[in-house]
Amino acid sequence: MSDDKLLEIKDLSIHYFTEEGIVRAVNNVQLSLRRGETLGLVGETGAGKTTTALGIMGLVPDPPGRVVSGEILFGGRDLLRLNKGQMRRHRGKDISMIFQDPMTSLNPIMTMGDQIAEVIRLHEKLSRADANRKAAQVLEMVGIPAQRMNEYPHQFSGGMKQRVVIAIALACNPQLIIADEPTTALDVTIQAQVLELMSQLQSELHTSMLIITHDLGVVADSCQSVAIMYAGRIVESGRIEDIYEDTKHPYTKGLFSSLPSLSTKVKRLKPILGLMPDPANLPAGCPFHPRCDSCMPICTELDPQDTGLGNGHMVRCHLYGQHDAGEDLA
Amino acid sequence: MATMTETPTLDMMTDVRRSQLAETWKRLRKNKLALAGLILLLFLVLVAIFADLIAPYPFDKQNYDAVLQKPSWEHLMGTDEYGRDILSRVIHGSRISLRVGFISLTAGALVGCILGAIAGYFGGRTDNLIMRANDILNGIPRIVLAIAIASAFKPGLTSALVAIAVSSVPNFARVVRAATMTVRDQEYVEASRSLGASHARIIVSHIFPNILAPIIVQATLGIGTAILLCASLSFLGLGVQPPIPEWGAMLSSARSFMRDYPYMVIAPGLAIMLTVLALNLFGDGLRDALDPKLKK
Amino acid sequence: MLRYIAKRLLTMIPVLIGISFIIFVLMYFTPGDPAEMLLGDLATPEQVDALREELGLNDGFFQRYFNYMKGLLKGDLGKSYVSKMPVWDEIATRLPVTARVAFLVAIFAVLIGIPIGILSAVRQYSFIDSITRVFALLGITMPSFWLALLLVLLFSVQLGWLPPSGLYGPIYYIMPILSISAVSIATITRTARSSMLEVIRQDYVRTARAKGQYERVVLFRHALLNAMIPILTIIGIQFAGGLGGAVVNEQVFAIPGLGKLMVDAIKARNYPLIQGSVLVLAVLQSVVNLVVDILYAFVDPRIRSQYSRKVGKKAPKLAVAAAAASDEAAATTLEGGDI
Repeated sequence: MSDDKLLEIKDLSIHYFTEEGIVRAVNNVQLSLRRGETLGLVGETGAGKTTTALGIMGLVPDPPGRVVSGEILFGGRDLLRLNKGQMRRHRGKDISMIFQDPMTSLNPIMTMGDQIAEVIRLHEKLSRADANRKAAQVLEMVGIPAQRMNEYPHQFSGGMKQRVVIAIALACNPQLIIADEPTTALDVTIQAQVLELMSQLQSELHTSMLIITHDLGVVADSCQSVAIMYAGRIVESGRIEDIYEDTKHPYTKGLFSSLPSLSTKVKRLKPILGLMPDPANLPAGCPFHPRCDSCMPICTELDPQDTGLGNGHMVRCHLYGQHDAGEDLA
Repeated sequence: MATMTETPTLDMMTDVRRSQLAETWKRLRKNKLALAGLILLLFLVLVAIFADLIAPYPFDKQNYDAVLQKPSWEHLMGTDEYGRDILSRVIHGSRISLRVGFISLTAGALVGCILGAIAGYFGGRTDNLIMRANDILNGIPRIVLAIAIASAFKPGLTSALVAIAVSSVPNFARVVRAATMTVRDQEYVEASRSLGASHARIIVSHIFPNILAPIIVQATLGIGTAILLCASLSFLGLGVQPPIPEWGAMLSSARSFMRDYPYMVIAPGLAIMLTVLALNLFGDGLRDALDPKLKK
Repeated sequence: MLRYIAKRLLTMIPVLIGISFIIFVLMYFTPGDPAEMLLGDLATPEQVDALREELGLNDGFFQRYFNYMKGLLKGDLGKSYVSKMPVWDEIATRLPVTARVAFLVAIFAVLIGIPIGILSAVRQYSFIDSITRVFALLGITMPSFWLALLLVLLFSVQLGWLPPSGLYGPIYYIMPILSISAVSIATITRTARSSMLEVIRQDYVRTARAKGQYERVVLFRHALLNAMIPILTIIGIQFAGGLGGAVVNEQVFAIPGLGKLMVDAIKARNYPLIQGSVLVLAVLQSVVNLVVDILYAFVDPRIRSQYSRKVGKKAPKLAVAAAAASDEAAATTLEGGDI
């Protein structure tokens, strides 16, 4: 089983050390991703999704951020043990990232062609002319005529810019693409196009993908497995059908019941009451307990551990822990 | 937010502003350098106000028995070629410099703000006209402009004031214009326009309070520049004239004795530097405090 | 690009006309009679009046302005009241001195200020950063003529290493350039630092890192080029500062430049010479402003596309925004550095 794991994150913690205190953005995160698989990392703003992604890329801004503990195994090698040069050679070639806001992710004073050719020339021994030729091909692949190579970002619309960002990410046929809310900044109609483009290219190129989103609809459309993140922790993860049909964690349940559904008629959507805690000042015990409907005394004292439910379905909640008798509550 | 469609009342707006002020002060207090600048500035202002009490001698008291004395307990910074106590003159000089800095800058700022606000608010041809005039003033290096203006008057305090005031107009016009343009199309301005408020009223009561931050910052830093300019003009003999104890003028006359009495050029220069330093530290801190996103 | 340059050159004309008008008005209303000053106290009223007539001082405002503008268009700046030489000839011998000092100051300030500013930004909060910020603050707050005096005290009076005045060889340039450029170095350093700090946090810099780009290339190709716009603005303004600094510090070092010529002319109420000097300094500054504007367009395609060819409606708006942004950057960093 472990052979086909492309990415395995073990016990990853990333903290930001600021003047106001330590912001525990990512805490003991466990994640794994098989080759060719698409994993959705879901959570509210500030849950630590982007920090996790930057951790994989080795791009956590330091200072103030630092990886405090853990391993990030990529094809069996711990990325955290690589030196800067080795990590740099991985970035853009084996792992690439699509950023959230296409409006600001492209260099405003470089042509689109140069920005794509840049990553190609870094990782493939090609002449300038060959790199440009390949850049043109990649651009065509994401549906932009190659003539537009010499234009600048301000001449492109948001959706077109995101296509270029995707082209940059795909240019070197990476094994893993991390897409950080790739459609949030786009119009709804464009969102669908971009998502479709991404999943089409992924299936053509057999790339693994980690999609970061707060949109469960996106996950349902394009992912095989899901990890739900809350206050820097993965609270529930597993195959998509397990999570959607056999939801365990109260937070995940809350997420689903706050969604409008087409199949069942609901009078009123049920929001999760309260706000996510400040990651600089997490409550004791389970960080979700102040908002949890099923809160028990132990939840205010002890942070729960991961509990395997079989078939790769993991949950981090006292309701399912070995030491609890809370099964009947579920 | 849906309930906020009605125009915010004046009370709400002043409340918001008051809490912004408190917030700014809180951030400013955390900035040690800015606080140091503020304390130094207050100290200098107090020195200027109580110059008569603090100064050990009258600034113009000549004493031909004690000319060109090295610093001693009697004359902490020595005496000049007329036997005047340099420390006393430097202390009195703070009055001149702070006054010139403050008055000239206020005048220049007022004109600059009005022109900038008009240009930014109305845009189009008005903007073009004002900004071209601005370009003209900007085409002349500032000290050269100040020299040219000062030379049109009899050298003295007034000529320095006018020269510095006029030459500070373009900066303000530019800052205020840019700020006005960002505020001009905000909803609350649209709202009061749609309610039929006059242009003058919109500028004064809606635009101006919202662009106060850059103006205050610019003014604080501008006083420092004005003081430097005044010293330069006086140093060239085109500004404040001796025997008035202006720092630049003092340096100008100390120059002739510098070879043998180097202490004479230390105190006035140090005084200029400290004053401008105080204003800069405070101004920079104020900018960070008023616009936290710039600091991040 | 050529169109852009041509257009900018055209906009210089009204500015220069405006400048010449302002200078004329200032001189016109100046109190004091140059004729009296020239002839001294012993002159008879008849002599004074004859000289006034000769100098054209008895003509009305418009007549005098007309004559002055007619001369200007022919490249004639008038005759010096004192030496009776054409103003242009007097200026021509002095201008190269001041221009050379100002350009050397600008180059020196750019070569020192930009790298230090970048280093300071890249190593934010480090020891180097703190030292840089302290020195930059001192540079901005110290009057340049005072620094000049202190340098003379140290290097000429105390150590005897450098000549205190005159301009007879390369060694004579050291102290003038050091003293004048302190402000410029400080201002450019501060601007480069803040501009770099801002750009380093931009998403496209992260994108470049995510491509696996070398950190050096990320900093120079992606960050610095984008940070150049506000830095360019400041360099233009600092050139004005250098010119101004030269004007003042020529007095300290007894340098026979345009500034000394002008200040001496003011003391002698020698109007044509004052007018001529100010005008020449303004032209020099305007040319530098033009060059800076052209450099903007080189760096920033958004500004370039506004002029080089007709594009959609979006581009000019963007360019205006970009220009406004650089304007604001200039204004906020302007103070303290423009003497």
